[in-house]
Amino acid sequence: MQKKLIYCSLLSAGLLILGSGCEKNFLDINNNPNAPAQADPALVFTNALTQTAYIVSVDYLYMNGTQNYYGNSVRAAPPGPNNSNNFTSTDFVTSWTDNYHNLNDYAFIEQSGVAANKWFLVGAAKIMKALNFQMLVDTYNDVPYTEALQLGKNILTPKYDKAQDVYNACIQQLDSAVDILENTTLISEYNPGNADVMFKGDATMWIKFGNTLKLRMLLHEIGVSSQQSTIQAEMQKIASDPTGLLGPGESAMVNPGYATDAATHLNPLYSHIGYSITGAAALVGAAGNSYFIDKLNGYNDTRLGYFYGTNVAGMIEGNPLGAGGNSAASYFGGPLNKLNANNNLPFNFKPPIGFSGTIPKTWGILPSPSQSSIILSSWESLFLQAEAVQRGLLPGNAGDLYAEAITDNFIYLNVFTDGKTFNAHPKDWAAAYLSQNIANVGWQASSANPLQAILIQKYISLCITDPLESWTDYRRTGYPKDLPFSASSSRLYDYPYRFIYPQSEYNTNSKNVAAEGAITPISPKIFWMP
Amino acid sequence: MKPLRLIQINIFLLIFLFISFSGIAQRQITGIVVNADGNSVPSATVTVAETKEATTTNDQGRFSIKAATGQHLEISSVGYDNYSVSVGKSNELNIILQSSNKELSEVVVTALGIKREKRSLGYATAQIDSKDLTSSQPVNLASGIMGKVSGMNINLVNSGVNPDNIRITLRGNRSFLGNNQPLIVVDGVPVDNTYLAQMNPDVVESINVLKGATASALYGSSAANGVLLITTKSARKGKPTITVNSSVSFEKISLIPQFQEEFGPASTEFLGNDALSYSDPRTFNSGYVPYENQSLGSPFSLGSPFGGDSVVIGIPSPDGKIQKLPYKGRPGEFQRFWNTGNTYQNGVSYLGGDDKSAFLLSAQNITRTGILPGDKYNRNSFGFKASRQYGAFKATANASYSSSHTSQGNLYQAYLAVTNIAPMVPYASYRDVNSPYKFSDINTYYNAYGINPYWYLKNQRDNAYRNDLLGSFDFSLDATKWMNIDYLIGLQDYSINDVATRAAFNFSPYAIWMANNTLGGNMSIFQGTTPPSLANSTISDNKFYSSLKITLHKKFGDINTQLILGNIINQDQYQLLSNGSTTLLNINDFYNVNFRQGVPNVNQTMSKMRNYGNYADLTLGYRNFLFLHASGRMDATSLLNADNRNYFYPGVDASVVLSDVIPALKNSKTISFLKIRGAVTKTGNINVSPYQVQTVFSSGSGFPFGQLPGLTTSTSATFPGLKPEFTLSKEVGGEIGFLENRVNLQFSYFQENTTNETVPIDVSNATGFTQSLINVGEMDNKGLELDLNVTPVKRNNLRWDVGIHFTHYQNKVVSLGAINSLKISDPSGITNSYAVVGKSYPQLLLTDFARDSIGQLIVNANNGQPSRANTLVDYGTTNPTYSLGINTSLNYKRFTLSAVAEYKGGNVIYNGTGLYMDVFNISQRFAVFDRSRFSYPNSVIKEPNGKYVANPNNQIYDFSLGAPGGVNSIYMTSGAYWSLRNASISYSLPTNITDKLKYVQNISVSLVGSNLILIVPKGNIWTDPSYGESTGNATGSNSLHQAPPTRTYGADLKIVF
Repeated sequence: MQKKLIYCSLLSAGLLILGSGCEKNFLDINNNPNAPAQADPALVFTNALTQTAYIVSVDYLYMNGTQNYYGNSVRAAPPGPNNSNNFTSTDFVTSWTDNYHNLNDYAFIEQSGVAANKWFLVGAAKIMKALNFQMLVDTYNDVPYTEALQLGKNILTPKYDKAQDVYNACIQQLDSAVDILENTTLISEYNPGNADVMFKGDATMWIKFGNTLKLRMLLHEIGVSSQQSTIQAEMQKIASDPTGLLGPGESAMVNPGYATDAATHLNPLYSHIGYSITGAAALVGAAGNSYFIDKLNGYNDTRLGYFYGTNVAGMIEGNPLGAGGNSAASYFGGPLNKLNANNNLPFNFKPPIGFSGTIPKTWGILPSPSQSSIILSSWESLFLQAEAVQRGLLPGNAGDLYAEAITDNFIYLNVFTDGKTFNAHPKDWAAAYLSQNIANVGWQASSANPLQAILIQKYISLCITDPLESWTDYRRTGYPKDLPFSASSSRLYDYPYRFIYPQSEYNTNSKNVAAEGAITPISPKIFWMP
Repeated sequence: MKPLRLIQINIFLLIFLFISFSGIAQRQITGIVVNADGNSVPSATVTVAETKEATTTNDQGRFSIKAATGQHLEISSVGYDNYSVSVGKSNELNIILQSSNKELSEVVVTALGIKREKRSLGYATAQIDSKDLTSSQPVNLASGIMGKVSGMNINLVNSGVNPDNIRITLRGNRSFLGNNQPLIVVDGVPVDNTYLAQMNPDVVESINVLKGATASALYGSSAANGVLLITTKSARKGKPTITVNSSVSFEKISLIPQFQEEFGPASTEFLGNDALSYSDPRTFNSGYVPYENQSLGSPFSLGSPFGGDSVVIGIPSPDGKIQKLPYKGRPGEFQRFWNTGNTYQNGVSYLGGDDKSAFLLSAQNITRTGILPGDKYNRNSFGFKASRQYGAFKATANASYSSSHTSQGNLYQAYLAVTNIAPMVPYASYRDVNSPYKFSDINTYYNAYGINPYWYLKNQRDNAYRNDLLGSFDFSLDATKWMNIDYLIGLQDYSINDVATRAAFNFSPYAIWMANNTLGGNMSIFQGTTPPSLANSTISDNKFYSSLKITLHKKFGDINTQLILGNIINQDQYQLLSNGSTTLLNINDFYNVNFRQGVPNVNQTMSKMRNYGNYADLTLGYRNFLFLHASGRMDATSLLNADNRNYFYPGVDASVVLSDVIPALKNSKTISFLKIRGAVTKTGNINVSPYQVQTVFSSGSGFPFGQLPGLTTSTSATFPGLKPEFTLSKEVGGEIGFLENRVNLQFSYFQENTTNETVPIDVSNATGFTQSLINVGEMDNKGLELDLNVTPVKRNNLRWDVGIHFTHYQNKVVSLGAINSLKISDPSGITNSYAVVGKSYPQLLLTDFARDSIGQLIVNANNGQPSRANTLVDYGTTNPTYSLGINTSLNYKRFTLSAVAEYKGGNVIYNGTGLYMDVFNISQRFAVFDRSRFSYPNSVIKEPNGKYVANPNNQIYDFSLGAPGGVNSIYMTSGAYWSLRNASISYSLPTNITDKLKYVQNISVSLVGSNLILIVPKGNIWTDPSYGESTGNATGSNSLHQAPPTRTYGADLKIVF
């Protein structure tokens, strides 16, 4: 009896030990049920484009201060380091981390796109990578490129590449991207369709975008004497590509379905410089800029009321950057916020004085929380073309492109009134504006310095939508010449030329970042700066 | 049933029993012998001193003997002090024996429930018995252990109503980022750490603390940080024992942060250009601002320093009333803000059985209200344990269930709102937040920048419902004389259902009009109307445990051998489901995720892990004085990749009882016991979460947008070849007893070295990742533990025991791979603790002022303001390096007085509370210079030539030493404290009374106090240094997430039937 029990127990013990030890699957339960280990590159593409839109809209938001698109309000501390221009290694950190994470997504899309024969995605990812690196170089100068995104090869501390080399590599990548997207047999196998939240799978638009981005980069480095032959050769390529560049109404814009159903679904520009989902002003420390207001008033520029809203008194007023004297300064323009319609908020938009017509559904720089995010606007493309033509690098008529660019901006803002008369088409308001005999407004009136007119009008049109490009234009050309510096007594540098590498690089990649030497907000300059 | 009611019933019962006594003298004396815990003592010898007639007690502790009045009965039993009683009128005696010093031949429970003679152990253990655990009537068992064991550190995270927040470490920390808390084992079944707070302390027989990894190699990886073995009371054969225990206690805040009471509200805003720059409160714009939250103003600006001049606060109510108050501070307002908490505990247990079977039934209810108005806690626990012997076969079943409900208001928001209140405001009278026109509702509350703290308590609440089920079956077979086979299967299942709600911030049209048209209106309106929010979450966790153990024991001549072979299987299955919305429909007191605007927030997280281990454990004993013990274990885990998932670790220890070997000692009257011991053990530990070795994609930010999904690559990369962390522990120690062991000293010295620490190191973002998980770190630990137990007085009815427990602990981070410091992440998200190479762990790193090379403050040459330095400064470790626990008990006849005091020191802490108080200038620190001009002591200015010279009296008004300048170091203080953790006095009713009560064996009443005295260094004007943000590794920082420390008083009634 006892012996039998012993055997039974021993057998069960043996079974347990053997059973647990030998059963092959007993320990093979470490497959994550919470997050997938594989992903369709198209799904990653959707997110990556949306993330790029976030980077363009939000990570360079404070350059709106640098460019005098906003001034200080009196209600709270001004955002960012605009008052002092004393950029440090803790400022703009997200512009670094977001771009490189975004790049990692595009690198995955490119690699798995090649593996899965999804060449459309390969081409698009190459273009977007060039955009990420263009933004990184224009703000940090030298950055890791060749050794970046190589953790798989165990490169934990990527070396920094010369900014010029990164630019050249990106321009090559853009060529290669356009080649892929123009190869119809290659891309006919697969189309991302709606997963492409920028161009809905329209390869032609991607080619135009690629070419425009290349044009932008070539003009950025226009002042670099050693690049002149490259620039001319590349301009030739652009001119000879029948697909061409982004034209009127062809802005590169991302919209994954921005909506008001969740705080994270608002258009990022709207939620960061406009209003939160509860209707609170998002950037209480900033307000209309008095320089910008004076400038536009001086040009009789109707668009002013479309960039800024009116204050309690129905006026558009502002403060200088770095000083917040006027408590009635305007907030950023947009339609009456529906979420906020019942709150009579002092900084909320009100229709211009004397206006009694029908307000269109969307207008202004913050037309709606579900507006598309601008990656590269059609008017910027047209201004770039005007500049290239003016410089003799592309064929065409600079004045026509200049007028088209301004008109396109009027159309985007949906200008329908000048505050007194209304209900004309934005084109008509643009035409009236351009007909003025004011230098830097009318083309004829600007004949003394047409390049300045192009860059001043580009400066106005980039207000809030692309402060980074505006900052770049000022750094490479010095227009607008009267751009004021921060009025704050704490101003340490008159004007910033670059970002400081993030502290995380000094902590984790110290050797390589140290090789770049001492970095201040004014030195070393970006390679393309005069 | 209301707890008070139950107490009343208890008292009635008592009276009833008193009057139903019957006392008729007889020659035959019968009685029962029990120990201090009320358990019967079998086989005790009962002798009539005068006649030498003797008998022994039976299994139920009962005896019967002939004796005459006036004669004496002497009762003796192994392990107990002799006891003498004179025979009186009573024919039935109830005798309670006190344990004698029990260190000599005590049997202790070690890993896997293996009972070993304490003398045979080669490593350090400590045992805390029931009466020591429960003398302070703890709600959480862990607070009953404080100060009673060397090498153990307990952090009370908070004084909230929820007893769940306690962090325990044994011999410090071994892992940088992984778990450092010991494994909790209840009746052989490993449970989640949080289970301690769910247990009924009344049913615990003892807690055995296995301090080092040495003691716990047999439990595997999860016991790398030591083990707390909790044994519940075992049913005894014999007369059933029913114990009824009722207690009530009251809790009040004890340590109050220091506030200033001199300066009223004023504003620095609307000053013009630079809103951040501070302005002189005396010369311009220092005007009294009735709705301001910052106390920057000066009493002098109104002409009368502490005068009774009435001032207006806030805005008029809609019916035109104005709030007018004397312009002076209100001492005691802070204390009035908090409630007196109370706790009622009522429990009953039933122990019974016969020769072959035994069982225990228990039930307990705890009902508690917190110091935060509205906070409640309620816990019900039920337990059942039964065993049955059948020949060589024994089966035991054990089941316990507990269910608790915690309802808490948002402490942080309320406390933050309190720090936003100017000193003359009677905020403790603003309890009725729904009352319009009384200046306490959301619209007319005085502060334009905040909301009444009571609003958060009433309207932002968290309700947690937790259910715990612990069950086990244990089958044991004495297969032969030399072999036992034991199989234990256990299950812990718990679920936590949490509902967090916040009401809408809704302002009346009047308040909105005031905000828009006057400056006094509520500025919160500009944050927009916020709809109600709701967050539901359900956590369920299921732990399965199986242990097969075959014990072979045989004696070969003088050598006793025991070999244990076993297998252990663990499985842990976890699931979190949550949903919620921050945009609920605004309906009064109605929270349901189905009724909302926009999309709901949802989440699902699951995990499952398994491991198993096979082990062998051999003990050799030579003539009961020399012992050798060795063990080895092979583990396999699902958490690592197949190539690295199997790992082996061995251990060996030895002990020798010298007092049995050396003849001089054998006969010594001075030294009664001497033992030395030593151990070396290696333990593997996995600090990797399930699935962490796999790189995955996550949902992109904001996705899905409607129907559109989006995925993104992970920001943290993993190294697939991750290996376990290994700790090598070495320990030597001993025990020496003097004077018949009335003085007993135990000592241990240990060294631990942990390698292969699994650390997510930050990598350059240019890699596309932010973190990579690798095996990189190494940490050393060493420490000394001394336990001195002395019985200075031991007479017939007087006994005094003193225990002193001392720990000195040192550790050092040896390596972090390529990096020098690593921020320790914390569940709270708040941490100032780091692992720093070459320093002890964790270190407190804080921002400090810019200083010159000799530490003098550099101030601005123009305005005298200091600035913040860019690098963090290291202030020392947050882990106490010295600790001392003193516990004492004094028995005199039927009185027992006991107390536990505790000292911790050698560490520093960061008091975030101070930062919050300074931001709004309500801290006493902001009044010390009377808001007059001063220059920073020992400050220097930088001359154009780069040299530093003494500050030529550049004076400033602003006392913004801290928060406004971002300097945290000024909130750093020593973490030292002395605490009288608890003190109690209890009285057992005399046997001649209880004898006359049928059925009643013992009645005792006690008065209990906890945390009665807390002494902190002068610099700490904020809170209890043992508080922390969470039970995680980043200890040493507190903030407004912790309620002020409290003191508890109570009374307890215990009746044993």
